[in-house]
Amino acid sequence: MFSALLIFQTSPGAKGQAFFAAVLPFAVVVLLAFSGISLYNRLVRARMRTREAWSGIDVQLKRRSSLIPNLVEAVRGYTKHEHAVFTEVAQARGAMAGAVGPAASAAADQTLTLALGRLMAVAENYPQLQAAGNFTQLQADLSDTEEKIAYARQFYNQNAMAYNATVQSFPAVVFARWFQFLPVDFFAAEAAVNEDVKVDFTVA
Amino acid sequence: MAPTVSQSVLVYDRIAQNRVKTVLLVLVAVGSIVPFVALLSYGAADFVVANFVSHTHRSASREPAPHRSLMPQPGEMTYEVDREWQGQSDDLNRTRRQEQVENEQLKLRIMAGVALSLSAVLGLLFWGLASSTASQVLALSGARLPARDEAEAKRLLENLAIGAGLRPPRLYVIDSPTPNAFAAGMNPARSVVAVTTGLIALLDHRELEGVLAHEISHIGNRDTRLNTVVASIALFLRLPHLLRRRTKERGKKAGYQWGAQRPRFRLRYTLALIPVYVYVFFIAPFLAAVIRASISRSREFLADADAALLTRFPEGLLRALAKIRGAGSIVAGSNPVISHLYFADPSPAATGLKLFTGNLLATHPPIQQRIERLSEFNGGHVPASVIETAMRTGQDFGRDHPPLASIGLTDTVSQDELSVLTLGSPMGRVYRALSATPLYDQNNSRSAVLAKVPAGALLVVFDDPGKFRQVLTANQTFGYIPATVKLKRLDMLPAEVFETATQPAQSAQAPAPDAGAANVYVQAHELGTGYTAPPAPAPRAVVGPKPKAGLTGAQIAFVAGFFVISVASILLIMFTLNK
Repeated sequence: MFSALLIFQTSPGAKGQAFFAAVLPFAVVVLLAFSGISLYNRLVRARMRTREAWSGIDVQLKRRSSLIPNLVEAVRGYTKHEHAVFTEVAQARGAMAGAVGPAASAAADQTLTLALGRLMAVAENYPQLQAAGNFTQLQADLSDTEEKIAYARQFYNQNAMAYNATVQSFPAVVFARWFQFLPVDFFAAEAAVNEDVKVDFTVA
Repeated sequence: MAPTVSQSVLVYDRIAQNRVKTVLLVLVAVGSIVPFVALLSYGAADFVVANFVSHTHRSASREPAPHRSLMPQPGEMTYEVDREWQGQSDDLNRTRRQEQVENEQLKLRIMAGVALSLSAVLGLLFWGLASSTASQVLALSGARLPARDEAEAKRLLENLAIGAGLRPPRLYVIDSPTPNAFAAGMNPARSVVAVTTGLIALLDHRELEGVLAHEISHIGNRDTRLNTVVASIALFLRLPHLLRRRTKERGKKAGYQWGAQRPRFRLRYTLALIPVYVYVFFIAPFLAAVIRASISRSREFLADADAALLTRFPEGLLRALAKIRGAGSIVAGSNPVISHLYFADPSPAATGLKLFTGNLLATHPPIQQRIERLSEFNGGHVPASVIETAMRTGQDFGRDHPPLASIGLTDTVSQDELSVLTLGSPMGRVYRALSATPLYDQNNSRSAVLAKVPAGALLVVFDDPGKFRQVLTANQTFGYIPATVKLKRLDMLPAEVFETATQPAQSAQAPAPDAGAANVYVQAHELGTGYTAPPAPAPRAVVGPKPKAGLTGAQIAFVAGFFVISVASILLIMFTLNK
């Protein structure tokens, strides 16, 4: 900065010099302000994207939750003695509805997925149930929704990664906390979810 | 299926690398415009000044003119005259010097004008290419809406759109046994994805997902827009080359040599401007074509990498590629304008230039190379047996489902990018032939008859060069029909139906627009595939908004404005010269 001032001292006219000396700090301040504003806006945008991506997951989770009662009813019509499974599914669904935030939702989602897997395993034992058009349709809807959840999760995690990376990298990390730009949780499915549910034929 | 960290990192590296490469290539493309415009405008200015200006100056400037008229009369060369002549000579030298300065200034002025109008031409080309909307691309490829048993592909596409964070694109189906797919549309909100029936039949769930993820990635990366920009730059750089070839061909046909009337003038033009000539006619067009193909290829790799990231299952796309490699991806009668949009190269491999490692002008990288990269994303463990099995399946499929007979469209059309532009441009309008007519290969009645067009058939008419009209039939046969055939203008493109479907307000007026659309498509295809079939009942024209086919009012205004400005600047130059 000073070298720039020195260069300007060689230029003729003290008037121009004074003008320059007055303008330079001002220009620096303006530049800093602008870069600060643009960084802030970038953080806001990244956070909004993360929220939007989260709402994408939420929609699909709700859609699955709303499929479950119909599915349970369809199975209950054919199987009278599987109360344990029905209760488990109902509980998991209740926990899912009560879960707030990515981490809790991911955990609840995992429980629900396991319970639903057990329900499907039970349904495997009733051939007439498999033949019912209603049930196969529900099953297809469920697997479609699960696929949608997987993709929504991926999109959310991508956005969360970009946001977290911005928040935790240098210029932002200094003041991000003041403005409540906190890193978000990933919607992480644990290893158990990725494993295929074992079909257990010994169920009575 | 769960990705390991190292695998993802490889994809990210590739994606970052690809971004840099694309930016560099676009910079080179833009950079090659600058010398092109500069040289061309210099050439034009030099040409104008050399051939018109000095001449105009001599005859127009009043003072030196009478003296000069004395000059060539040697009999009157007395001493006195000679002395007078000496003085005149000084005067003349001064005027000459002045003239030179003026000429230089004028040259600069003309250069600026020419450069400006050249950029206007570039803008116009971009506009022309950009306004061939997704619906028109669909019309050119003969796409239809998916049937009920093809809903699986639609479901997959919707799920992938969730993963990519895009609005789900519309899915269209092309009736072709060749497995291929493409994405089109200038912005993600109005994008479409089309797959062939062969693709749906050949691929399993995972593989189809991979292909659709590739197409969705093209949409997410805004590749259509990039390709349009690059294509308009390429066309701009090739314009003089193409025009020269056209003029030559026309000249040969008419039986005279271009420039034969003014041999001296032509010689001067050729000798003085050799660098301009070489760059404008040889280097720039070649560079343009190579850069364009290169960008298209690198975007294919990028879409593959993004698809691997989106599905987290590179093997699906890899198997799909292997199967398509086995079956072949040449879509008969696919339009070269949109060949870069396809999943695998739809044009016959013969065109292009082989150099060192591969085809320099190919829009797609060799499938083998794409497979190698994808197996790299998979951590390098894709058993060779998987690829071999997939390829064998593809070969069997290809044997069982031979591609539709090629009608030589790509061969004839891809030779001239300008006619390609005409094919893809919004100039084409839909007409219905009111009487049956043969479809000729060339624009004369002695040429081969490609097909018979029945009365009532829908035709896309492009050009009106004289006694024959260039048309494209519903099954993509490009040819000529006599201008005497009565045509009825329809205010629609088959795919304009797509536009109607997007506007629910219009659907109230049109009785069941979707059904109508399907109807038109089906009939177009019936007419297209079996020309021997009796003429189908005239398809209902879909009542809708006035289609955007042809030049829009804004475009006409633009061209008219450009014309007026050009004429005005020419007049201005003339006036300044005469002063």
